[in-house]
Parts: sequence; structure tokens; C-alpha cells
Amino acid sequence: MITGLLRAARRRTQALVVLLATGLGVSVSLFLPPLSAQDQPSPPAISPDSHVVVAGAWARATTSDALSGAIYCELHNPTNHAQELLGASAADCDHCELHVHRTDAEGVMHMSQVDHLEVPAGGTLLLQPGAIHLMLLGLAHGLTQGQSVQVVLHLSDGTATLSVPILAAGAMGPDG
Amino acid sequence: MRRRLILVIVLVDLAVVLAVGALILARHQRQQRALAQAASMEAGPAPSSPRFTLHDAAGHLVTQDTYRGRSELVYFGYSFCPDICPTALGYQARLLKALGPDAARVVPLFITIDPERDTPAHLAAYVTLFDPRIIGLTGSADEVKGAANAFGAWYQRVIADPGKPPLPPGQYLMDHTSSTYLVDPEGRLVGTIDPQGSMTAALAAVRSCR
Repeated sequence: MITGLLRAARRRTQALVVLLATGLGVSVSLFLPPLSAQDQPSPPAISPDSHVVVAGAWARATTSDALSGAIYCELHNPTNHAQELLGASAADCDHCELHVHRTDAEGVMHMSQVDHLEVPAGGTLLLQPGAIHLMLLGLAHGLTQGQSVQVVLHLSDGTATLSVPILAAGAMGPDG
Repeated sequence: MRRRLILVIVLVDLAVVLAVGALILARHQRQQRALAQAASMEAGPAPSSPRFTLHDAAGHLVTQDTYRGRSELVYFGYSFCPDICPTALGYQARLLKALGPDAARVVPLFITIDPERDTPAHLAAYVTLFDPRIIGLTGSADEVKGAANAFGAWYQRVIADPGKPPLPPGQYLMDHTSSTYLVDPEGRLVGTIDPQGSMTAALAAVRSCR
């Protein structure tokens, strides 16, 4: 009788522990953010020149106290393999980000940062106003028309170093 | 003894189930509230004569009556915006050039949706980069919100993605509608111009607005 009671109590305790653990697990999992890919490998310090050919790079002038700027260019990939634009670094700014624009059904522009963009095999990736740009953040002293800014693009097969001319603030393309 | 044990176990089970249920319910209600909030912020049909109270770089009061007798090109944006706003202002500058002498009958306005960072002086320097005729307007957060609502424009500070490294303080981005509103000399909102659309159509729209 006592043994039976003890066994029953033990069974119930085990069931309770399982239930508590499950309850706790469910509650915790509900409030955890989804797993995200973090710790992207940073590009190596010394990388070979990329096969990707960059043309028509230009930047827009900003006020002298501006913190942000944008760079546009065309990336041509002559190889048989897709390459990725992974990011960039530029002189006189904290960091660079790849930004794409999306317009929703209400006509609202949403700018979002992406980790990489494909330069298709034998194809072109176009960074142009209103679509894709390389955003410079934390500029030290703005971008002055007539000057240029040194930029290193990080691609999956190496780097591309550019001297980007700074055009008028209202320019729409490499020709102004 | 046994009955008491069962009672305790049932009570603990009940407590766990209730707690988890309450958490799920709270989460669900939060999501519903967020959805309702997002829906209520959608731009409704704009009134035909937008009213607003703002200030220019010199601190002068600017309302819907200030430029009566001339048409207005109104764009809502912010100077930290590296791409869309310069694209829209560059378009506005080209439109003013293309209008030639007719530009004298048009007042181009750039209303900041980021009065926190766009001080009057900074705003003036910014719009002048594109065309000295463009007038930068700002106001209190409420005044700017009121002006945007009057035109049917929408904006919101971008909440940083928790999965990505945060931007340095003060370097936030804004989501916003990107339309140039055309107001006739009587102060009536007659339409919008796509700042990346056809210049010919924009010229015709502005010239016919008198």
C-alpha cells in the first residue's frame, strides 16, 4: 500500500517535472528572438584584385556637416561565376553599408541594409539613385563637389579600389 | 496524503498552464495592438486644402496662406537621407530650371520629417545645395506631423534590426512617402509628381496649375 503510494507519487513527480520543463521551454522559446546569422566573416586584410570591373562610379556632394553620403557605380562581372559584393570601406567615414530601396503599396520608401548583392556571371550589378547605393555613414566632413573619395569594394573574389568623383548634390548619374 | 499530493500537483499544473496562457495572450494582444497602430497610420485621403504651421530658416512663420497666389511644390524628407531625398530634390531643381521664367510662379518647399536633426540652419544649407530657390521648412514634432497629415504624407523612424549591429547614436534612418505635392495658387492640393517620373509630364502639370 505504502509502496504503491510512493510509486504513484514518484510517477506524478516525474510527470510534473516534464510538464514544468515543457511549460518553461515553451514560455522561453516564445520570447527568444529568432536565430540570425551573425559574425559574418570580415574580408581579409590583404586580398587579391577582384575580377569584377567597376565603371561610372560617382558620389553626391553633401553639406560640410553631413554624416551620410551615397556612392553609385556599375559592376561588371566578366567571369563565369557569380560574384558577391560584400561591402566596402571608405576614407573619412565610420563605415559603409549596402542599401536597397523598396516601395510598399502605400508609396512609402523603405531603405534597408543588405549583407551582400550578387554580380551575376557575365552580367552587371547597377548601383543607381532610388534603387541600390553604397551608403557612407559617420562622414568626418561631408563630401565636397569637385573632390573625390577613396573607396575599396569588398567582393567575393577580392577587392576593387576606386577614386570616386564627387558630383553635384542633385546629380542623377556619372555625367551629372 | 495521496489526495493532498494530487491536489498540489493539479494546482501547480494549473498555475503553469495559466502562466503560459497569460504570456501567449499578452503577446497576441501586443501584436494586435501593433497591427492596429500600423493600420491607423496609413495615409488616408488628403483634404483638398492642406493647412499647416511651420517655420523657415529665419524662424518666420509659414502657413498655407504664406505663398498664396503662387503654386507650391511640397516634398517631405530629411537631410540625413543619402539617396531618395537628394534624388527628389535634384529632380525639383531640374524642374525649376526647365520651367525657366515660369519658375517665378512656383514655390518649392522641402519640409523636414526629422526636425530633431534638421536645424533651420542645417536645412537651409542642405536645400541650397540643390537650388537656392528651394525653401526648407521645419517645426516642432507636432507641427511637422500636422503638416504631413494634412498632405497625406507618412513617415516613421526606422527601428534598428536587433539582428544587426546598431548604427551609432544620431544616425537613424526614416521610412517615408516620396511624392512631390502640387498645390495651386488658391492653396488646393491638385496632385502629386513622382520625383523619379517623366519631366515632360511634371512640367505640363506645373504649368497647368494656375
